[in-house]
Amino acid sequence: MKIDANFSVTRGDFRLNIDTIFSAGAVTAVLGPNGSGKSTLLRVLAGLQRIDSGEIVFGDQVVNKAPSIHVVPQERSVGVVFQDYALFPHLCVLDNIAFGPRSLGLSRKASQARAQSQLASLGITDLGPRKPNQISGGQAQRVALARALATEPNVLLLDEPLSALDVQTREGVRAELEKQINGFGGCVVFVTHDPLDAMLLADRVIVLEDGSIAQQGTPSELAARPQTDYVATLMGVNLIRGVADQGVLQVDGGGVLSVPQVELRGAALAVLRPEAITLHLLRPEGSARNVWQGRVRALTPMHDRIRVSIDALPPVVATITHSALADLKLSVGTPIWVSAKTLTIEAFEVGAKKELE
Amino acid sequence: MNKILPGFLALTFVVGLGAFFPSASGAAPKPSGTLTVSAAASLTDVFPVIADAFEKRYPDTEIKFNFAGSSTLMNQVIAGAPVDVIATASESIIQIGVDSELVVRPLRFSKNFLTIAVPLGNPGNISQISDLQQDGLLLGVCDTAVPCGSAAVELFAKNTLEVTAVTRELDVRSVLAKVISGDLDAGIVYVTDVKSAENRVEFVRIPFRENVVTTYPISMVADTREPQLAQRFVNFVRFSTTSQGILRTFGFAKPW
Amino acid sequence: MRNQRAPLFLLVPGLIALLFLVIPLIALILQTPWEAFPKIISSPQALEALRLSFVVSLAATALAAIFGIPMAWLLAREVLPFTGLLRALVIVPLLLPPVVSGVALLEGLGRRGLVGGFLYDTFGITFPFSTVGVVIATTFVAMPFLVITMEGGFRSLHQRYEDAAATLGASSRRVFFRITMPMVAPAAIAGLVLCWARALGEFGATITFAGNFPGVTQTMPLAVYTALESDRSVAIALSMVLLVVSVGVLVALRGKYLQTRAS
Repeated sequence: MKIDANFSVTRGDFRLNIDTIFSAGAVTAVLGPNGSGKSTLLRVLAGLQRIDSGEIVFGDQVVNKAPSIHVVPQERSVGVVFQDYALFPHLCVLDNIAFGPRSLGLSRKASQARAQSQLASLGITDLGPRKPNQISGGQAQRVALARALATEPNVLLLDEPLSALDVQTREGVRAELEKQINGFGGCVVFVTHDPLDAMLLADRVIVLEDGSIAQQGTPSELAARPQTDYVATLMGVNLIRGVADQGVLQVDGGGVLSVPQVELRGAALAVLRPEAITLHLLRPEGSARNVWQGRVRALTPMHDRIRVSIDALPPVVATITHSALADLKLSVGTPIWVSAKTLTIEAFEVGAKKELE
Repeated sequence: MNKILPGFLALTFVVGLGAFFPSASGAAPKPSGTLTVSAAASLTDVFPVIADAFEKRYPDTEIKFNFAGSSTLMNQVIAGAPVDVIATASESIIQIGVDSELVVRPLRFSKNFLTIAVPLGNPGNISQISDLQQDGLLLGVCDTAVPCGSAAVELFAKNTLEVTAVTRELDVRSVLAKVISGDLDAGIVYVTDVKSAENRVEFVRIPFRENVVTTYPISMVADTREPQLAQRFVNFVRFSTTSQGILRTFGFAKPW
Repeated sequence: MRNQRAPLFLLVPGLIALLFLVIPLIALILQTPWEAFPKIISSPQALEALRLSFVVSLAATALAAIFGIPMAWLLAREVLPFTGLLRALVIVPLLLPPVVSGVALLEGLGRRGLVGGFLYDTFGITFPFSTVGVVIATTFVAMPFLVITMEGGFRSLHQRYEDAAATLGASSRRVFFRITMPMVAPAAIAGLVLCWARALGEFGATITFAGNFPGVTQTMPLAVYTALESDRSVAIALSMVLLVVSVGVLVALRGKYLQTRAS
């Protein structure tokens, strides 16, 4: 079942504007900074929040049509995994999972049986009699997922499913979650502020900024052609704006880049991957067409390399190895030459969207 | 007229006498000071007026009041409350104080009679005391612990009535308030109470021979710090024409 | 015991406050006529008052629960317009002198009151001078205690639990009884106890609205006050019973719900 959503919600100064399709059988990540409206989007899909205009269609059922139609959460066939999981603290794990089936009218026995089989399929049968405050965060995540799936929903919504976990448990739970949502088969939408979760778990990513969709596409499309600085930063690439003409990009704010896309004309974006940038203490002689000078603004250690932020025209971020850092003896304020081969740069028209299928 | 004249003569005589006492004891000719007077709830309206008259006559004096049910007042005196004068609506209560030597020389200064207060329009159609026996009539009385309650019991006994009240209030003003609000069909209160609420309540007179008399005694408290002034106030209330005149206006009967 | 010395400027007023609160209670215990005590509290009037007090306070607490808990929910969820104003109105009986509450009840539900007049003229129903009247007066005064406690409970309960239950297909009724109420149980118990204790001690509104008649409207506090007019020792003995009940409730709930929790 796919979800066709075209609506807006206004809450005080904030306005959420969505026009997209969540494909059947696909996992969509909604990625965005805090306050971008991603949790509101999830609440709207769950039926916990009304819309002010537009409509939302689940398969062929209109679940929202402003202002008259609003199908309540109980009748939407959605399973929701809440941020912090919202397990009912007064019920044991088994009763938490059995709560949904029981609410849908199954007998106490049948509900418990379904809860048992959910626990078994997640390999946590022994947690059944425990109270939520007696299990770990990773276990709670699984129980929350089991509870959401126990009602056999058509749509699975997850709000920051991994953010409550510490880094160590995260990896394991993410792998487990990937297995579960891939096996789910219905439409999955999850909200996250962590690009890694989006890249690893999603078939498709929607980036929300200030209440509207900044970009949508497959993870690799986003990485290749970010449309906004936020997306570029998320993807860890340099995004440079300018005006292109015959293979030359006049950078907004100063500087010139040679790009391989000679046919491109007008406002354009260029993506420059940090690892494609070379740093030199002296002006380099060689084939690189793009060479310009600047100063080191910041050095940020990553786990296997160093991010070097450089003040220049245009400003860029480069990544270098620890041994390269040792050779160059860089520190903040060091004058530095930057070079990039034209062929490592990808330039494209502003607003170009590549949709999945 | 022939009834009033001897009373009047007696009154002028004792007023003179009362005024004579303080100067005879050789104290300051000009009375001054502050008195605290505990007075029965039914005296709430009249006593401040009498006090005003007293203060006008003796400008350096000040009277403060403490109004409550008579038994409460006596309990306070027993507990050592700093009171100079006590006026109750019951002779038996003041007698408790006399017996324990807490009050001295009580004087009867007024009388009061019972009446049947009814809401405006008299919804219970009461015209005489025997009408109080009707089934379903909402009758309010005071609790027997306070004078208006024991007087009501005496009233019913005297007239051999079988009545059941729906409430036994702890002071007469509460009975009156519930009659005024229309929640009671009738209430046994003092004549003076209905007088104080003239346009808000009606009343059914109880003839003298069917009625019960309540006598008001006033007395100085033995421990008072102002014995001369206290006695002067007691005498003023009992004997002055001013005070007795005020009491009449409020519906209180002569003490003799 | 903590290893901390209390500074004098806190110690002295603190101890004075303690003495101030404790001395009258000790005096009450010392003045209790213990030999006559069994006879006094087993007198028909005392037993009637005791029975009536329990019946009335429990009935008032039940009414407060049936109507007050939903009202607390409405206030906590701010589903009505002018919630702030409504909350203030609900708390007013809490701050009002009970006698004033009694007068207000007479004006509203008395035989010639705003609504009471209609009820009397149409159905012949009157509340004053009946046990029902006592229950009404008591509920009026005691219900706000339950409402504000429960409102706090509902407010501190995060909405996501109710949301979660709704997405799991639970009807709003099921959400309320299976999720919301069990989760605010501590607040509910504290609120019910406060409400019941206030109902048990109610005096002013009761005597003003419902009057004072043994067996019908004379609850324990009214019996104490009535006895005070005639026999002080009876009043003290009856007061002792109320004191024992209050302390009993406190002990029964000790540490469980009435303490401020550190966590």
